Amino acid sequence: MDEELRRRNVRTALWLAATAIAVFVMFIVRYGMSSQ
Amino acid sequence: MAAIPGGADHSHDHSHDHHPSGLMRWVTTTNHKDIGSMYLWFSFAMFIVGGIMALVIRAELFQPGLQVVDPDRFNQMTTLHGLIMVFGAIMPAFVGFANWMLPLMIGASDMAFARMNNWSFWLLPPAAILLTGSLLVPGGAAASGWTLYPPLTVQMGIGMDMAIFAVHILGISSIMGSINIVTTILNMRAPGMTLMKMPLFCWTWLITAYLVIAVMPVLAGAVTMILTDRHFGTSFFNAAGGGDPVLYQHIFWFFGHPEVYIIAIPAFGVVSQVIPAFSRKPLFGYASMVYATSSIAILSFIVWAHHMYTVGMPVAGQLYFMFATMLIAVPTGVKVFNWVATMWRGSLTFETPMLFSIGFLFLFTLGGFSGLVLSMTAVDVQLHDSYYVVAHFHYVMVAGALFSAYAGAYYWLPKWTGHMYDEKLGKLHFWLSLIFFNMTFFVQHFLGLAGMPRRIPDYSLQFAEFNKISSIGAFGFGLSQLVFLVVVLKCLKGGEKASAKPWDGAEGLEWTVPSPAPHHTFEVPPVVK
Repeated sequence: MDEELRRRNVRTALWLAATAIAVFVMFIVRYGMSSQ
Repeated sequence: MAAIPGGADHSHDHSHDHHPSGLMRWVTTTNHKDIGSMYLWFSFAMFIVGGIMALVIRAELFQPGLQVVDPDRFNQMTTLHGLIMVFGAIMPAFVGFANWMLPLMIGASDMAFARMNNWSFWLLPPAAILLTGSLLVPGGAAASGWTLYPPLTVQMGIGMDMAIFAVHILGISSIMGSINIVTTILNMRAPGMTLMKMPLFCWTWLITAYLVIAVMPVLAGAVTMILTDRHFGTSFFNAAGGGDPVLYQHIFWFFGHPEVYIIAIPAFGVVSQVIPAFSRKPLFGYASMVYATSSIAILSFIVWAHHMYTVGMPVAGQLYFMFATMLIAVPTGVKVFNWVATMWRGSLTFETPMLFSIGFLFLFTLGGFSGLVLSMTAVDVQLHDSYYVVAHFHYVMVAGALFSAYAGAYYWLPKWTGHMYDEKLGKLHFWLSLIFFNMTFFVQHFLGLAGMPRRIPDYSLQFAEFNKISSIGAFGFGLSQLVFLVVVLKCLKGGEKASAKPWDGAEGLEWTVPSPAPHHTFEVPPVVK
């Protein structure tokens, strides 16, 4: 796998992982805290 | 599907490899085909475990009264059966197909993150051990149903913590797998393979992977909040501390409804490969299939509360969720009509993959219709938590997802093993499955309409006959699945040699590589015209 493709893959994966983490945090903070 | 393979040079593909042998090959492998095979074997093993739990349930329900297990153990069986079948059997089966076939279909040499792929798989066995092992701990396994509703889940023993931890692990595994799939499809397609030239199976997995990334963290958040309610003094869902149990239901089903499509959409993808191959025609309405699948995925986010009409909701809310749910029938209808139109005036043959696909088409549509019935609020208030619901979702999950998985397995077995499977046994497997599946679940519609509630170990005498029929059907269905195991083992052992393209109507890059597919393929990307 060439270096440019590797970097592109890592960039895509980081965006997707950030999305997943953001959803997790958002649901706990926004909806979970509303009942505290 | 407009992918036209051209210039694929397999002189660089090696069947030999420098990987470790024995057990270490499987522990350390980063090869997408090895990992795909492990996913598929794992999912079948979990299918057997979850199936045995289903048979315990059906044995208990064979006649009224308590015979086989005590009520608490019965509830543990329904809970673990659901969790294991959804997260341990069906989802890993389709991830197995994705691992095996996506790189071959798009002309990539492997998945984008081969080591993470290995990790995604090896997270599954510990989760499975946690789930099944929880049966042995004091207080037994989680007994709240697979939906893990509080307040029950706030009150249970250590088995509940094990289930929560298992769900966390399974969620992480699915998210990593999905990141891998999206990255592979977006970045590693062969030159000339535009998105709209991809086989539909790739499209369905691209959409599914986005769904997983969007909703798995929601489930993880929900079960994390249960965990902190149980052990760290919070009251997210604990009404005694000012929390709201109904909030959990909203959060769970915001995950839970897209989850239905996480299971169903890859099944659509498999069927969209098989039906054109055995109709000897291109898929009818390829672009409309892509848009319909995307529409289903988007709509799946806005219908969650149809699972909870009875919790108390304003009429405007009920009406909104009812109409939004009915809307999903439109893109689903587009797909069903396109599959039928693909077969229309095709040169049809009925090998086992095609039989399972047609079985899927009829029975999934039936499951869709009973879903429409349940989407109507006024009707659902009567049928909620009844056996009608059990019948409905088994038509979607078993006849939908499982039949499609079998269609895919029979379709690609020659490519995986290099041998043709035993067609007679394959057909026997299909007909036995079809008959016993309907025997098990069709009668459950009547039980539900007559008022039999789900998740109960005992029932009134009036339900006895249909329950007997259902239980006999379940044992028949369970035994029929052993035929599939025999077919696969026979196919692995030997049999008629499969050519690179054993199905004359099949299209796509995966059929340009030899059968069995060499350990490394497409090291030099093919050119798609």
